[in-house]
Amino acid sequence: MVFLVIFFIEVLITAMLAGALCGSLGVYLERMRLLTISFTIAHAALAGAAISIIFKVNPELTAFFASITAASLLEIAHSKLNISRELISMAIFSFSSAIAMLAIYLTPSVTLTSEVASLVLWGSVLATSLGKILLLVFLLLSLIIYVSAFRIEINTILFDKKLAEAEGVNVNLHATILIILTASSISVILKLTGAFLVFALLFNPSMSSIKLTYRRQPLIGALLGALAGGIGVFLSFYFDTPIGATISISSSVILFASILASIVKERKLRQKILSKHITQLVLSC
Amino acid sequence: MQRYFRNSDEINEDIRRGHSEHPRNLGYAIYMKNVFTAYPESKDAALKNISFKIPYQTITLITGPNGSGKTTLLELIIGFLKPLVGELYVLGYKMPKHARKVRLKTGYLPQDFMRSPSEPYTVLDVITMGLAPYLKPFNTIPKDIKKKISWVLRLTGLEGLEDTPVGQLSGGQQQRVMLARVLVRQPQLILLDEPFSSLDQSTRKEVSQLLKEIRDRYKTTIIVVSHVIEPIIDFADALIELREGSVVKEEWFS
Repeated sequence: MVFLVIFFIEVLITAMLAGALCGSLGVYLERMRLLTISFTIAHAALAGAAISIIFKVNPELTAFFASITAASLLEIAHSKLNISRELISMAIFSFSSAIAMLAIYLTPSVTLTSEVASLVLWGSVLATSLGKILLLVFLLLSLIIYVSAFRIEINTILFDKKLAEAEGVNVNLHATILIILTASSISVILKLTGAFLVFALLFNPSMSSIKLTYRRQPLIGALLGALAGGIGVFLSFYFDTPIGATISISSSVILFASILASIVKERKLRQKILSKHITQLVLSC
Repeated sequence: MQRYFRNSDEINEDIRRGHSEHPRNLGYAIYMKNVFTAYPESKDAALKNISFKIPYQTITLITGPNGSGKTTLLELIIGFLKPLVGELYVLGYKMPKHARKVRLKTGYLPQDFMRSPSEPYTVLDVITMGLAPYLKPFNTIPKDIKKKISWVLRLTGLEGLEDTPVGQLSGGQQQRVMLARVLVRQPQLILLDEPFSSLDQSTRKEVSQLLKEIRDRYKTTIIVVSHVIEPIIDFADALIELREGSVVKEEWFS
């Protein structure tokens, strides 16, 4: 029983840290228009992880190298060949998805039903360990330190990317740092959520935060991501469902709720404006 | 005006250093010879056979109808576009090879700067952003720079609005904020794209007067792109007119 509680706490901490990291990172990626690229990196990680099943190597390492390779190709194509990031992202995404499907097809059925395949494709509660928790803490701290160190430069880019570049801010360097942090985070989280759903953890909490507030979006994104991770773990344990899917569903529900909340808030604001002017109109009469 | 800009010796040293790094001592803030440029994937050149030389410490007005290439010219100068052929030197640096060095010495006010009311950044945040490339990591704003920011706020009539979200200001006020952001950088070269578009008549005169003072006192080279020439024509040293990507008129007043 004690072991179960400890195990549950370990999984909960891992999921909440993963959610916090992705929720915060996702806000910067979205505000710097790099979310499409992170989608591509996630699928490159999927291709890397799927290939690892065939060759029986560490899926986290192959996922990391695949995502870094994809990010590097993307940057080279954009900066040297002047191809738009979106175009090359979609090309790499299609290619990566195809490689992943091919790798799954070529995997012997025995291996496909194995633990390793489950870890990589669907996610698993067994993907937690003290080492993973420490790695997630390291990545989260790295993000916090990076953002603190370059706060003004990052705000300059978020305010107006083109103007920041015109003023001498090294926009490409910051984009590269964010992409490397994303690739590292995806590789670490892969086994928990599964390669298919890791993007949901990057996208949903950050979009929820952006919908809800204009201030402190990275912090709110982190909190919502941690909440999605925590709720997902509870529900997964309670209903005995795949953890990756449950966390994704939790984060999606939070996103829908945020969208609804923003619509209600907007309507209330409009009513307030109208009632203010009606009062003025009545008074002037 | 209090002296928060660099002194004459510092400015001259900047200019001399810019030139001594390159074999050709051209002596012009902008040197353009037979330059053609085009946007990626476009079928025709956006600027054709542009040649002119802009000396230091001048105000040059670039005018022309919509689509004549005025904004394109500024984008070329700042290094967003590359010359297909021809020579381009900005502040003595060959472009676009040394684009970053030029950008660190340049202040740029773009045409489209209006922010939505939901923009969370304050006036102070936006002005401070102009100093971003000069600050070291973890560097809080030093005291002398805080004084500089206060001075720029007074100069542009934004005192008391430091903590106001930029999106809640009028168009004219937002333009002043962007101008303050340019001035706080103490640039050698200022590029302004339609700076009078959101301003009323009296504010246009004030901004023109301010630009003249900056040129005279701080030896700054200023290039103004505007289809409205009345506010600045009295202070301008040159007028360049573009039409369909080519220079059709170049007139020097001094």
